[in-house]
Amino acid sequence: MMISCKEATRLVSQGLDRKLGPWAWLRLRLHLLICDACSAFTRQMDFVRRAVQRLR
Amino acid sequence: MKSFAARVEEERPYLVRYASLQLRDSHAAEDAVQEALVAALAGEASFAGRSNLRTWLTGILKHKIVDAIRRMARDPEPVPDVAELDALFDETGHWVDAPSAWPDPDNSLEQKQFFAVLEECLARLPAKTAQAFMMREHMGFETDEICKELAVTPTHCWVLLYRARMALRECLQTNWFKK
Repeated sequence: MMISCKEATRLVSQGLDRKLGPWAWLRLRLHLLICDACSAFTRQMDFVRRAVQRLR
Repeated sequence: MKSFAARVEEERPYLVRYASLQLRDSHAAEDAVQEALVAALAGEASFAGRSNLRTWLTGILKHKIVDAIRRMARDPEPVPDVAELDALFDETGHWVDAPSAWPDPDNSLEQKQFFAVLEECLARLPAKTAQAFMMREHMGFETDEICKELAVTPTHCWVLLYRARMALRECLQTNWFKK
């Protein structure tokens, strides 16, 4: 059930490109609940997306 | 009357088209048809009494197509190397250097200098990785369109985008959100 941070980052990235399956989504949510580092990583990925959209 | 071998050979174009449709690879299709025709000629006796040569040949070809699909699945397109990402995690998959929240990132979006650093970070990405990432994040393409344009498999596509995001995060961490 538990996934590693490495696996979590892969799912965060895939989640930016497509809807995750319910099982993957659940495992990622549970990981993010207990992992500050991956939660920070997730917010950083959102930020990178916004920043690149604003590039001219 | 035509020989059996000649009648079989006449069906080749149809069979190649049939195999190509399913294998999406003209070389693999021709190979599968060749295997099927060889098997057909060797098994002429088992055709005796059947009325439709094309149906019989197609039945043989189907088995060869399944074989080809299995071979293709065993030998997939190599996924690009993500070894550089291994350095970010230890052998149990934990961060070597855990990310912490970037301070006031929205403020960075107001600064010209931030975008200069971002462009510099993008420029350091390998060409195909950067193409995939910019198509996705800057131009807003869906990943299946990106895979098609770059002629890569969906798996390869995910890896390119993942690798781009990880590299950009590291680059921004080091060169903008200094620790």
